[in-house]
Amino acid sequence: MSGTADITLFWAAFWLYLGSFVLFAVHAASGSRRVGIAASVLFAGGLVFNTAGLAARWWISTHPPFATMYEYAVVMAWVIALSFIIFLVRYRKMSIGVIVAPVLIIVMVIASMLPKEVSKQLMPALQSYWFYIHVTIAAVSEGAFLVAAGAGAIYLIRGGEDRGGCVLPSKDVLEELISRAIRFGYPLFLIGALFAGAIWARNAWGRFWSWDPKETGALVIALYYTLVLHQNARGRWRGRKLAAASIIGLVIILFSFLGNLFLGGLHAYI
Amino acid sequence: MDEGNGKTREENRGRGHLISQRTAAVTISILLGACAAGWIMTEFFPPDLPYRREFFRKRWGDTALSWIETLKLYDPFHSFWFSGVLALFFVVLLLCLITRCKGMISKSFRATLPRKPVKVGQDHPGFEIPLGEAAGWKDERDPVTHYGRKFGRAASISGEAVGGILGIVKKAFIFRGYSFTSRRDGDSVVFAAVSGRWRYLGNFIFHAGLLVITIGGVVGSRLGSSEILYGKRGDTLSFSGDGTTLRIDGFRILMTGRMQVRDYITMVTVLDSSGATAAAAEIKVNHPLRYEGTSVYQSSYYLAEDEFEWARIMVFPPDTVAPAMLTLTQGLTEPVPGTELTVTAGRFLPDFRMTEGGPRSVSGAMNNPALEIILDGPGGRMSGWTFLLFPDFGTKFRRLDSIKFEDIEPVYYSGLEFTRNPGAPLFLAGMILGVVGLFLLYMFDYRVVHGSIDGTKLTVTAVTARWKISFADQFEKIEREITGAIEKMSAN
Repeated sequence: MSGTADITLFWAAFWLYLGSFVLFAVHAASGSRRVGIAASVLFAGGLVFNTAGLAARWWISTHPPFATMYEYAVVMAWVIALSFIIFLVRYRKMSIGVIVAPVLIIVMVIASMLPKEVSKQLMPALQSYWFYIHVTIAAVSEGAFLVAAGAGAIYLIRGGEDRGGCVLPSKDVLEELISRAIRFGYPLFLIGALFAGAIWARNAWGRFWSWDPKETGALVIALYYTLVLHQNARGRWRGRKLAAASIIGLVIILFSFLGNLFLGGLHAYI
Repeated sequence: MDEGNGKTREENRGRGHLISQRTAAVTISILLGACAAGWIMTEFFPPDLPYRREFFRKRWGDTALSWIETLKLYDPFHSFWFSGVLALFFVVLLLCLITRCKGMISKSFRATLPRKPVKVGQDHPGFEIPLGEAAGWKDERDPVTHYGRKFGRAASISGEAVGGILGIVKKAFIFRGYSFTSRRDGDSVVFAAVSGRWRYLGNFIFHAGLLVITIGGVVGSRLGSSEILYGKRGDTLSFSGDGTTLRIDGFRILMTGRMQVRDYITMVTVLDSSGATAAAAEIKVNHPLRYEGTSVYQSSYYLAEDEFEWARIMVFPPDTVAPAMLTLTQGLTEPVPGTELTVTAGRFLPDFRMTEGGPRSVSGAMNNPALEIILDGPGGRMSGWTFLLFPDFGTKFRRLDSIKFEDIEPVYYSGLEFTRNPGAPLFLAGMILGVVGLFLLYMFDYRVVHGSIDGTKLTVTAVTARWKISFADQFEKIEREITGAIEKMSAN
């Protein structure tokens, strides 16, 4: 563990999320409301530390924490956690945490394995207000897609028909959550990752589009969710298929995110 | 509800359209597959393959190499097959827009009435409220029902009552932001309440935006140009056919206190064909110069080998004479004070490495700057290397105690990219359309309710909603409100 405050807060958030996952699992298995509340409190605590860690990193680096893959991953985790808290307040289904928490932990584990050095000076290409627009909106949209994937996983795990007394949310609620998350993330992704990215690329590199691996990855994500929405509108990808599609989306997003490490290109900021 | 998500079953099947949703989905799948394949291929087939054909021929064999070159797998996004996929996407998008534009726009501005009353069922959840006698209304207040029963006809409510009920229903929906339209046909009425109709316009604008972006991209790639030119201070670069040139007045790398690069800046002056100054600017990363359709970007730089502005060395003559600092300029000889020697700077290597072929610079970075010193005087010529970072490591000159390489101002070549993209305005316009379209498409909650009043009952059916659960909540409230108001009306 590194010594800076933001890293300490990151690990505090990580352990709280991990603890909440264990309690969410117990809650899902036992149906105990007290355990569920305890898990939710731990999770909320994790979000507080996650937020504080990002704020600390912002303060230390003197720029918003979107410049490295580590920072991007932590922001994505923060978006997922915040979305879950909003969901929790809206639907009061604590058991969904048993899926959201591990998705979050996976993102945090990936973040923990990435270089965490703080650079006070952004490289010249990143010194643009488009950087904040592009990365913030892309992170929020990808966070929404991850939320959809989490709900998709619960949908598939849940299986069967809706039964009374099941601690997991009903299939209708889950399907609407997946649908809402994708329909929230999709326009943001197009605007933030593709449009804002293209305008910034024109300012920084002289062309809107370079078929850089990261750009192509973003296009693949956008096309994939375009297909999902078209199929959903046709009445084809509903229910289980929509849930499975949201999980495949997660795999594509992770491949695109980690592609920086081996595909290189203009976006190879580690 | 039938297909949900804002479409009727008819629409979802694309019936009556040249390009169905199925065709659109298949086209998107093909484009998705092509992009994903190209994305992965770049990892397996290096872009420099055409320059290393022999190496890859030995590795993969003639046949495989021939296929790879034919399909341009090393640069898939500029291959004929990918262009074909893009063309297919363009044609399908264009046809989709042409064939659906009228419907999409008209639906945005008016709620469409159902052709026939919709029945409540599994596909169409809703509610029915009996009217007139069936609901126990007071006969004397309802002459149509009273006389209808007396003469054995179906009991129904009066035209006035129909109007009153329609008013209740309309109020319930308009209050919640729905637009409401109805058609009266004798004693029966059909009506439609729709919210979020702008999504249709958004759908059209978004797809039109994608089309404009595609056209902009094609225009840019066919008619645009891009070229990187390098120059040092004082050089003039020609970038336009009319004799306009760009003079480089300087290049600087701004560093932070921690020796991190803050910015790269090239100071330039644009000169017109007569040589007069037309514009002056500082070109930085993210801050290009835009001049009459040409954009000039700070693209790269390199440090010239064997070139420098000046170099400083400290010369330590034997015993009696004090050490002297000499500033050397390239190609000029300087006398060494107190001696009969002269010193000339030879080669300069920013990243010195001794190789089998002799000394050379292994990179353009100042990792190990080395200056060749040439001493002339009685006894002939002697030369050797001095190192900026390792002052004690250099050549020992017999006729001097030592020479130390103190400082150097290297020559930087700034790499400026000159681009002309006539498709850029289209591309930007397409993106603006896309953003507006997405906003309209996804920010409005699309809901459609159809219903009818046929004299004996009021039927209200939920036809379409993007979010079924929240719509169901609202629908329940609407049902309660309408039922309560009708009961109140009948009681009076």
